[in-house]
Amino acid sequence: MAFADANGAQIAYQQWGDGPDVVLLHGLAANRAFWFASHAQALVEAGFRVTIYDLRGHGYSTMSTTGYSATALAHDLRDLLDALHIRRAHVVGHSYGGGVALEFAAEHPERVESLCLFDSRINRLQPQQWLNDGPALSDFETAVLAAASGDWENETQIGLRYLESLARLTVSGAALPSMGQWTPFGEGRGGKRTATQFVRLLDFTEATREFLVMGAPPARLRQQLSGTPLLLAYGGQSRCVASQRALRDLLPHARCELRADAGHFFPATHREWTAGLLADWLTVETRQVGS
Amino acid sequence: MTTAATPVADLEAKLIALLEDFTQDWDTAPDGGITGESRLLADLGFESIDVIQFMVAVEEDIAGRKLPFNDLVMKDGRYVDDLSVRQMAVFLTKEGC
Repeated sequence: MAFADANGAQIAYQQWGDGPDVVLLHGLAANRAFWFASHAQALVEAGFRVTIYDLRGHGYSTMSTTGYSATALAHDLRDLLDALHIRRAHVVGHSYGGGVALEFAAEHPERVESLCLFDSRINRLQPQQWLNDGPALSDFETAVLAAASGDWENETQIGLRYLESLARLTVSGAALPSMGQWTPFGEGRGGKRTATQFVRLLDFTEATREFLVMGAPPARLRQQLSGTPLLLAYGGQSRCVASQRALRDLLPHARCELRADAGHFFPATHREWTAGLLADWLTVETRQVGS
Repeated sequence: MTTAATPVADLEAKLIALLEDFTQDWDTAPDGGITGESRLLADLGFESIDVIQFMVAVEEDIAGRKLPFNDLVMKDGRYVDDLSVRQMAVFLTKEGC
C-alpha cells in the first residue's frame, strides 16, 4: 500500500499522472475518495500529476491521539510532499482541508504554486460559527438537528456539531430522510464505517479540541501569502462565507467566487461548476508559471 | 510472445483471498463467505474509500502494475452503484492480468 511517514503517522496517498503537481485535501469526516471520482481523474486527464491523501485520523491514515490542528496537519502535508519529492505544488483544500492548506502555505509559501480554498472556515478569522450565519436549513439539516439533542440557536460551533451529530445518528442507525444530493456518510451501507471512524476520532483523541485551535495570525497570513495566487470559492448557502470575506479583506489579490445556490459540499454537489473553476484556475496559474 | 490471461475463475479466487484479508477486521462478513457473486458495497460493506484502497491492493498483489480502474468503478463522473467480485475478475482478465 502507498503510505508515507509523517511525524510518526502513516499517511495513505495515491498519485497519478504527469505534469505540474496538484495536491487535493479533503475536509473533516471525509477521505481521499471525496476527490477521486469527481475531480482527481479529470485533472490527470488535463495534464497534471495529482496527489490525494487521507488526513491523519481519516480513511486509511493512522489515527493518533493528537496532531489534528490545522497547523499540525500542515506539517503532515509537508512531510508527505517531502516523501514524494514534490518541491512545489498547486494546493487545493475543501473545508478543514483548506484550513490545513492555508497553514501550509503560510509556513512554506515557497512550496505553493497556487492555493485554492473551497468553502473553508478559518478558525482565526471566523472563530465561531452560528446557526444564523447561513440561510435557512435544508430539509435534511432540519431532520438531523431535530433528531439530535442540542441548543442549536446558541451553539457556537454549528458546523462541527452538525457533523458530529450526523455521525452519531448514522452510527446509531437512526432513520434520516434520503437526500437527492450528496451528504456526509451518505453512501454504501449508509456510510456507517466512515461515521464510526469519525466518532472514534472525536471520542478517543484530542481532535475535538484541536480542530478549533487558531492558526497563523492575520498579519502573518498577509505577510506570507501576499505573493501567492489565491482562489477563494465558497457556497452562498454555507456558513463559511464569513471566512471568505475576511480572507478577501486580508489578501485583496485573491480571486473570489461565490456560487449562490451551493452549500458547503459543493465540490460534490456542484461537480461540473467546481471542475470548470478548478481547471480554469490551474490552467491559468500553470501558464503564468511557465511564461 | 504474449502471456495467456489467467482464467476468470483463477482471478476470482485470488480476489476472494485478497478480500478476505482486506476485510478480516470488519464485522461485515457475509453469510456463506465471499463468492464471485458478492458485491463490494451491498454484501461486504465497502464504502468508496475502501473501493479505491482495494484497487491499490489489487494493483500491488495481483496485477503488479497500475490499472485503469476508472473504467470499472466510475460512470459519468460518479462511482457505480456496486461491483461484484466476478465483474472485477472479468475486468482483470480483459486487462491481461
